[in-house]
Amino acid sequence: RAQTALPTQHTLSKSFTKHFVDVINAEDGAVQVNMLGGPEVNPQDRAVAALERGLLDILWIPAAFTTGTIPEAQAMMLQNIGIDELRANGSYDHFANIFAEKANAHFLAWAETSAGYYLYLATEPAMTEDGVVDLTGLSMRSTGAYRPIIEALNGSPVAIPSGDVPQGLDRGVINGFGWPTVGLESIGLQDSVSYRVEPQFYNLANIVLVNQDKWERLSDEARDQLSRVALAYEQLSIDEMNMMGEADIAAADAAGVQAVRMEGDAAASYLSTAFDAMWNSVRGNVGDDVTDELRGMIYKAD
Amino acid sequence: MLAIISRLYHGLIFGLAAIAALLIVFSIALVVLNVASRALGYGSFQATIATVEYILLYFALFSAPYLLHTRGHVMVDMAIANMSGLPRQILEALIYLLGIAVSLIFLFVSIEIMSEAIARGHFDQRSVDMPYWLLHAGYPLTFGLLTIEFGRYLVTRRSLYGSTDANEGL
Amino acid sequence: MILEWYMALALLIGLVVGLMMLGVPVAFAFMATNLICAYIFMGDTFAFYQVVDNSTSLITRFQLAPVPFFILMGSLFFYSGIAQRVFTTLDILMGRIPGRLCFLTVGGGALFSTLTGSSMANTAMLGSMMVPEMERRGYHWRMSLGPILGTGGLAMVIPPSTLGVLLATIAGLDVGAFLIAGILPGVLLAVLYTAVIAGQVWWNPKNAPQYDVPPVPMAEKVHAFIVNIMPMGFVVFMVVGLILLGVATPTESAAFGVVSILILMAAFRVLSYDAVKQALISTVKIGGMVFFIILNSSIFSQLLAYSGASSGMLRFATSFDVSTVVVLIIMFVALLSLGMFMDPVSMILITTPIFFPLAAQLGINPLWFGLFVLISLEMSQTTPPFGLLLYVMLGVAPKGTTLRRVAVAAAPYLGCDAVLILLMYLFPSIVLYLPSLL
Ligand code: NA
Ligand code: NA
Repeated sequence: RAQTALPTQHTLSKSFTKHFVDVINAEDGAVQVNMLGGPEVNPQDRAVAALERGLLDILWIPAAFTTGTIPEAQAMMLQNIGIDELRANGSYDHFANIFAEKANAHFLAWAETSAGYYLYLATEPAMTEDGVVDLTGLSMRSTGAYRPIIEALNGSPVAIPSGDVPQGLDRGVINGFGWPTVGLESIGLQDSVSYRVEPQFYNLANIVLVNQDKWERLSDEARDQLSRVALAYEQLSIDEMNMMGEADIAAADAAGVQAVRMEGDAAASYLSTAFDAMWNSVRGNVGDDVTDELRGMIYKAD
Repeated sequence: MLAIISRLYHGLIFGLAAIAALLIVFSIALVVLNVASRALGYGSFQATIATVEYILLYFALFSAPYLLHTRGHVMVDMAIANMSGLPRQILEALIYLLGIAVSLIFLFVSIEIMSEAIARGHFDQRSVDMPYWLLHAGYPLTFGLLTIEFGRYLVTRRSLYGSTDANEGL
Repeated sequence: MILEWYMALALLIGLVVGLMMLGVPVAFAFMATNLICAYIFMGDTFAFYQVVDNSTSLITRFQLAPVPFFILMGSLFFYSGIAQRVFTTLDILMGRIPGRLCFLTVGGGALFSTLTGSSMANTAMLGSMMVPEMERRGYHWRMSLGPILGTGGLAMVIPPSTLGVLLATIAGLDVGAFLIAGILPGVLLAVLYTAVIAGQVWWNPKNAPQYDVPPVPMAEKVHAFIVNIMPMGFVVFMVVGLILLGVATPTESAAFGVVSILILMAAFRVLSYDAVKQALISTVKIGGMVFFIILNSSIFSQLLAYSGASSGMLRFATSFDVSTVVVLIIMFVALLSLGMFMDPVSMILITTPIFFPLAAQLGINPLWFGLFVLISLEMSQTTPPFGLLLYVMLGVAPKGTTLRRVAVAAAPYLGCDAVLILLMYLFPSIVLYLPSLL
């Protein structure tokens, strides 16, 4: 019994369905995955609890949604070394231990890691002397994930529900928002924004968890199959995201969205502002020791 | 002594309903001030949405005992209205027992969820992070009072299916 | 335990409807059904944790905030006496056209609808004010009861609408766009009602005997209009205008609606502690009742999904090669039948998780479909044996009025609702034009 924490029709959920669920079921091997659906099965913020209690066996969820239960997971989007290195240097196992301990879950996959986030704006942003965007005077719709960077860039975070975003944008309640590098077109917002701030920051961290008790009850054969497909999915999702990101940019170009591109030192400065802001937020939630440990493992400052 | 307990008990039920009403007034004020502040360029209070969302929850919880007490919960009483005597008494008793059973489950389970959330330091992620136990902090009181109210209908001659006032609704 | 989807569907719906029919209060019928079914589907007492834990998730949505705000707004409007004031003014403006009391009802009903979100309050108010007056003037009962039932339901379609907010939130629609989508169909419905009345009066003038009205000078009419009707535009501006100006989101503008009524009350010198207290009490009664149902029913749709009932139903329904129209008719009949013994909130909660995905699958525009459901809901409240509006009407109508009479009088207006749905089907832009301007 599996669930995705985003709607099953969401671009990101489809990547999981295509490269994991469908592959497993097509193999007709030791396990079959019964995909129950998206957040209509359990709301995003209750899905981890459902997995922990054994009401779900497999859960695909953006790591950011789990931080109410597992605060360390907030750091997962701050890795900038790539999945191969994460697997190789023990970071993956480190997080696996955390999920086992705090969510009774076996950590099966860390996927879609090549996609990140952009800031989208309806008005052209000002630039500082160093060539970094300056959001002074702009109201940005922000949730937990974007608030640190928006504040660091002098923008005013505005809390409005996601359903109010299109109208808020059209009516000037907000001037922009942050969004993943894929999926803008699928929610139809490309006509409401005019500028995309590049480069992308952070990295998506969508994770696949399996209920620990269930995992232990599976046959070796079944576990091998799941792990093998999960590894392949991690790799395939990288290409998938790159392809979709390009398609989305093409669609946005067609809709007249211009890129505000920072390069060289300006880009580096923008990124370090973004990452440092979020690391500080992580620090506030899990303390200095854990933050330094995680940062040392998964983040390379230039 | 009994009279004092009874007065306190009714005071609690009606007091909670009054708090529910005041919470709505407060949330209206909060939303209006937030919009005004934003429109005047002073930025918005990040906590507004989370606060209003919690108010909606507590509004529902705090008005529930009052509604059961005043027969304000909507129900279909066609079957019961056409019954009388012993069959009706039995059906009513079964309904009250069902109400007691589900209220008790909510009562105990919410306490469990709360203590677990406190022990493990869970957070509820909204426009600002809230401690998770706060989501369930109103449950024990509400469902405790609902249990008592159903119990009162069960042991006294009062019926939940007495006169109802159907003039108000959606 | 893993059940076939139709077993799960039958269990969930059968249990909740059965308990309701036995007389279990709706919220507790949902509570019991959820606990029992969750235990059956998940096979573990952990299921109870999930039911209780998830109960907070739907209710803590900012988009639902307009529900109590709109209820408070409407209650203030009625308890302050502003409603009567507006009505009296309309009466003066109407002059002496045949069937004037009927037209007055439709006009007043439409105006109240733009200021309140409650069809019951509208029906009750118009019924208690107009029916005795019409009887006194020798109107046929068909003419006195019918228009009131018809216009009572307008409040649900024309914004602000509490049920509209509820439906939009649960179906995941854009609340603001959905509210605005209701404007044109609401106005059109009022026009259709007017046509029916004109027809009835023309067919048999004895239905609505003429009587002399003292003539009111034009200057006085204009004065009454400026003083008592124009200020209502302020309320509409606060609810709809602030959205369009980009000052407030649709969710936030509801709070401004309440403030604007309070300002009007102060301006009319009817701002009293008593009126505010009465309005708050009725907000707790109605809003608390609705929200407690939502609190206890949010996991119902999750169980439909978890058990596979939703997706099974979807596969089943789309496996037949039937046209969209047939599916719409089936859903329409299902809603009307459910409405025979259920309140609209429960109906929304039970049908939305099944109907909306199906409509999406068929490529039906969600805003259009939402309005289709809303009008069907409204109709179901005026059909016997359990149309809530029929009973509200019975409660305020003079002695000797029977349920049969109320239902017969309502029939032509139900016809108008059906015609409206047909028009919406033929010309979808009736619904979609205004939201497209947003
Ligand atoms: Na009793
Ligand atoms: Na209305």
